[in-house]
Parts: sequence; structure tokens; C-alpha cells
Amino acid sequence: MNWQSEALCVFLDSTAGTEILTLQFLSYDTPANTEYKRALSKLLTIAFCSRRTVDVFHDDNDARIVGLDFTPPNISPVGPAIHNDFYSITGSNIPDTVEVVFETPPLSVAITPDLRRPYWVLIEQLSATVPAGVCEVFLRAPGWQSDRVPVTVRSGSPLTARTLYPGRPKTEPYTFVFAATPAIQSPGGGPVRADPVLTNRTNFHAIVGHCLANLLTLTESLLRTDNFEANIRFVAIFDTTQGATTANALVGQLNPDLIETLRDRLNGFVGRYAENPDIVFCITANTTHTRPTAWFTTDDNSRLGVNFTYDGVTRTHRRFTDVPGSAAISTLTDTTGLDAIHEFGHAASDFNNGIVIDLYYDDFDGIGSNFVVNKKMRAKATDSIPDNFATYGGTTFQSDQTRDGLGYPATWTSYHPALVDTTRPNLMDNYWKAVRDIQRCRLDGLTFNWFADRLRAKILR
Amino acid sequence: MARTTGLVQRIYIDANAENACVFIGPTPASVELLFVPRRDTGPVHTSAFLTSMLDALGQALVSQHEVTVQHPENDGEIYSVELR
Repeated sequence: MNWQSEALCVFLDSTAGTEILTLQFLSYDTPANTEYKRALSKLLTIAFCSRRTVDVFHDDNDARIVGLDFTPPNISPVGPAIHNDFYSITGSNIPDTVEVVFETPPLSVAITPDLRRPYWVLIEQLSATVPAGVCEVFLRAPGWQSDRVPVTVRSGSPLTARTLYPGRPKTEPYTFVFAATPAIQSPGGGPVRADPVLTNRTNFHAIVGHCLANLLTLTESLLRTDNFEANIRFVAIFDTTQGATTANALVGQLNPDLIETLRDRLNGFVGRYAENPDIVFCITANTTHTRPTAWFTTDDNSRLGVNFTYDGVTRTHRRFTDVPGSAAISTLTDTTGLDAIHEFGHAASDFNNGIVIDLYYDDFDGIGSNFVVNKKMRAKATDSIPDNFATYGGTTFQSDQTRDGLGYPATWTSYHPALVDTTRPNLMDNYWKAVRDIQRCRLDGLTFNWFADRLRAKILR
Repeated sequence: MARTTGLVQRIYIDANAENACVFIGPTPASVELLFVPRRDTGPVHTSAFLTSMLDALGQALVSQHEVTVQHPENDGEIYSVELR
């Protein structure tokens, strides 16, 4: 590009050769036209400095530039490429064998993503084997390759709040946040002290990657229904500047070994990063209390929703959230299990419009008068389990008569909806007792359908 | 008032068009079409402001930065841009 004599000359390389096009700033141009040409020159400069391919419009047999189009490649990196930070690339119909290639000829570095979905891939920590500096990035699989995108890889501090996947391009997309808790509170509202999670970024990134795999890739397909996953906004927050204050203690200890989210602090904490969460997974590295728990969502009942009927009673899947659903997850989580998706099963249900609870205990302790979706009680343990569990949305769902191999203890009065997979425990039951392939456990049919409708109302709002 | 957050996937600007088209979304195939208007009349500073917004969106496109734009509820005219 060459600025001279109140004209800009643009030398454009194409497959047809080099074209010289011009943009002249003329004395008789209207102010609007002058401003338009200024905008064009700025965009042309941006394209030049970033090495992006553009289409430049001009009339036939006329070299004067009249327009510009940044035609998009078929992939889109999300945010800057920084060593040791998350790095994700979005696209469509991405093969599940894809690798991410960074290339500055003759050097080419191929990275296997930690998560591969049809709409995006995620590298948990961008390796320093990718040289810093300008390069092109593309996705490659046998028989398939994406377009190339120029990027600049750099070293330095990873981002504090990182968008992993942007989600639906609408106002208030359904937002799922992974937040490293700066502090943890001792049992019974005791003292607050620093949580060690902020001392080990690698473990945080690894558990985020594990949670995403648990939520999106296992046999339980809830979040793949109706392309829900392509519309969820995923964000990770890891902020080492935050001190051990009460407001930053997102997790508390419950004796003997449980961790729980301190849910009333979540909107305030996450809101500092300009996110409005529907679900927050609070990540801790506490070593004495590691067993995860979750708190249900509190829906915003003042805003619209989608009505449903359950056993003849009309209730509502509310679209928006007052207090996000949440789960406390440890970096020491056993990654051979289903903790993340199980806790999501609690967190994504709602205090007022339907809670989904554990099936591995018999009672409704602590539930109060809340409406429970997935468990009912008989009057006596000797009463037979009803054939029909509930009617939801006009469909009758049967009861699980045998609790799949686990069996109902003789003293239990609770019973559950019929399973989708009768060879394994319910995802909300003690899945660790599966004879094999724990990670193939699924929800029951009623809870799956109820959840699909609830998430549809929220994610596609 | 509506807010759209995402990656700037494409910008299209043409002298024959009244607006500069901006495509924002998570992937190139999943976008909202919004626009920055051209003002042939009105104060010079307004045109300069609109050019400045377009410049910011162009920078965000090539640097893969997320943007949040504001526009009326049932209209695609961008009147605010936020870079984070």
C-alpha cells in the first residue's frame, strides 16, 4: 500500500496476478464520501497488517476502489494465541480426528486438541513448542483441511477471563462459567483462607477440559440434543490477583469431606468479568474436602417461560436466572467417573420449578416442599412400586421396578422413573456401582425429557 | 436494547450500500447480521464516530477479539461497540 498525493494505491495479489487499485481523497468529495473513504483505507490497512485475504470492489475498467469484503475463512480462532493458555477454534462439521496445525514454512507444529466437537476444538494449554510469532493456523484431518487463518502466537500471561466458546449470538446467551475460587471457607461459616487452586493453572485447565468432556462427549446425550452445545457460552476464569476475601470464597467446606458452592456470592464474583452466568462450576484444589456437591438454580420467575404439566399440575420452565445453578468441583476429582455431568444434573434444575436429586438415598431430607422431578415416596416399604411413575407433557413414564441391578433396599420407600439404559445405574444414582463402563450411565427417560424441555427453553431463548 | 456478543466473522462495505455489514457469531456459519450505518447527511463528528466503530470491529476481526455490540431489539443498527 502506498499513500501519496492524497491518494492511496493498493497493490493486490491474486491468482490472476497483481492489480493496482486506488482510493483518491478529492477536494469535491462530500464530507460523507470523505469519511467513507477514510473507513475503507482503515480497513485496507487492517487487512494488510494482518495478512488477511479480502475482496476489493471496483467498477469494470476502473481502478477506483468502491468497496471491501473480509470474506471469512471456515474456521475462527477464539481470542489470542498465548502459550499455556486455553486456545479454541470454532467451525462447522469438524472431524473428530482433527489436529490443530501452526505453520510458518518450513516449520509446522501439529497439536492434538484435548476436546474435539463438531463446532469447536479446545487445547487446554497451548504448548510452547508452537514458536512465538506470526504464523498460520488451520485444522487438518485425513482427507480434510480447513482454511488457514493468520495468527500471532505469543508468550506472556494467560488471560484472566477466557472465552472458550462464544455461544449463541443473542442477547444473554446461556452461559456456563468455570471459576477458580480464590478462597475457601471453613466449615460452619468459619474463617476464609486462600484456595490453592490459583497456585496451579495446569490443574485448573485440566479439570475444565475434563468437565467439558464429561458434559459433551459421553453416552448421556442431553447437551447434544437439538445442538444445545453449539449454543452454550463457555467461559473460564482464573484470576491470581484476587485475594482470600469473603466475597471471593466461592466454595465452603462441609464436614467430613464435602465441598459446596456459596451460591449467593456467584453473581457478584462472575459479574466482575462482565458475565451473566446460568451455571457456575467453582473449582477448588483443597486437599481435605474433595467430594463435589451442587446447588440448584433459582430461576427468574418474573420473566417469561414455557409452561409444562407434571401429573396434571402446570409449572414453568423459566428462561432466565436469578441465582445461577452451581457445583463445587475439585481438581482432585476422579476423572474416570461422572461427577461433572451428575452435578450439572442438580445445578441445572431449579428450586421452584423442579429439582433433580440424588437417587442413592431414600429420603427427602432438606428438600422441604420443593417439587422433585425424579423421585417419589411410597407410604410404606411394603407397598408395591406403581407401574406408572408420572405423566409429563401428556406422556406417561413408567417406574423403575428393580433399580437396575442395584436393587431397592427392603426398607426404602422411594422409587424412581424407568431407566433409558437398564444395564447401568441412573446417572443421578450411585454410578460407581456400575458393573462396567461407568461413563456410559444415563439419565432415566422422564428426567431426560424434562431436562431437554427445560434446557431448550433456556439455551434457545 | 439488545446485546450481541461474539467474534467478528466478516465485514462487508460497499459504496452502493447504505450500511457496512458486520457478521458476528461463534462460528463463520452461525452469525447475526448487523450493520454500521453510513450517514450522508448530519454532523461530521457523527460520521467520524461511525468510522471509528467500524475500525474497531475490523481490528477485532483480525485479532480474534470478542466484541459486544448494542442495537435496538428488532433492528440491526449498531450504536455501541465494546471491546474487552
